[in-house]
Amino acid sequence: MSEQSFLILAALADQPRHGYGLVTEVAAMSEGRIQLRASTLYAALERLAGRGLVEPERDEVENGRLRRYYRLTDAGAAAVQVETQRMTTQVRAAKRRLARRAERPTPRLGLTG
Amino acid sequence: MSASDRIGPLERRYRGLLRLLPADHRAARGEELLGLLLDLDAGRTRPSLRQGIGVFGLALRLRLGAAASVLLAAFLVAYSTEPLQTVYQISTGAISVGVDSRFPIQNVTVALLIPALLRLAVAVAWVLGTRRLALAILATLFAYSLATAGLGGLLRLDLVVLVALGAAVAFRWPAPRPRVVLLATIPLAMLLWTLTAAWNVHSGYNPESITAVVFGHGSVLAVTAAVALLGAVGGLLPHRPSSSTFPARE
Repeated sequence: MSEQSFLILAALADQPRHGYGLVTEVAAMSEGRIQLRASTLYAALERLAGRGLVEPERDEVENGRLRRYYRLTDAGAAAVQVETQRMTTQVRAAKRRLARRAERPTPRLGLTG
Repeated sequence: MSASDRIGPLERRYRGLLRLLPADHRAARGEELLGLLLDLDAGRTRPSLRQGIGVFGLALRLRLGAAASVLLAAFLVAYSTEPLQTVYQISTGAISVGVDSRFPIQNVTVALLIPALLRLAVAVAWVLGTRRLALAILATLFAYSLATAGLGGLLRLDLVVLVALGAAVAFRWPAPRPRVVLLATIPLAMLLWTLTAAWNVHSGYNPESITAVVFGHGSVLAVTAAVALLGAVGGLLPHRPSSSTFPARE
């Protein structure tokens, strides 16, 4: 699963959101690193809906603009769960190795013999 | 006050830009995408370069995918109906076909019919949008060729089809449209192949000659082009919104 797809699915985990809500939520979750284009989100939602991970929930019109809300399906929630578990395992493994590296004495440069 | 007066300049420009999208996508999700674009570019009078390029790229991707899908369907129709040429040549006595003694199937008709029907099934499955089934039938065709130790002829065109179907799945080309028109081109392609074979027979065709090989490839391309043209013209006819995962808005 791509980082974008993961973030979109994770942004829908707590509540249904419309497109603009998803763009702002994904930006907040990635600390501003990922700013989704409208077209990118459009294509991603189509793909995720095709795989049964999200589905349109309702349409609302605000200020003459259509806002379509999406919600995470049970399959989508399971996919986020699996991906989160996979990333947690990887982070744990990386942290263990970094800790071991920190414990190792720093090699000194110099002449031997 | 007219409707065009009520909408602002940003919305008017975005509506113009969204016309680049295929009609069925626009019908299903155009308003939703417009709403999002207006939210993201709030306060502007012109679309931002970033969003504008995104919409342009999306339209290009959708249209190229649809065009590639129709072209592949046309090629599959041409390739799967091509054996009609051989059938015509055998029936007129222009060529005679014998079965290799090592070949597991000794009946000529059955030996020719099995791969021909499998190829036709690949084409029909692709046109109907069942891409997994199309790949499964193609795999069966290869299995048949391997089981018969290549004596049934693992043709180069089968490999081209495998690569093309693989690309279609990898790049998520949409199902070809319009299905009915493309399915209707199958008997037409059969007729074209029969006419080609008749022309070859009456003009002293030698299947071994280089001209015949070049002509054979040219014929596949010509039939593909004819079917693709009909598919493109059929696409201009009014039809129900397609396969998008999202329902069209009333």
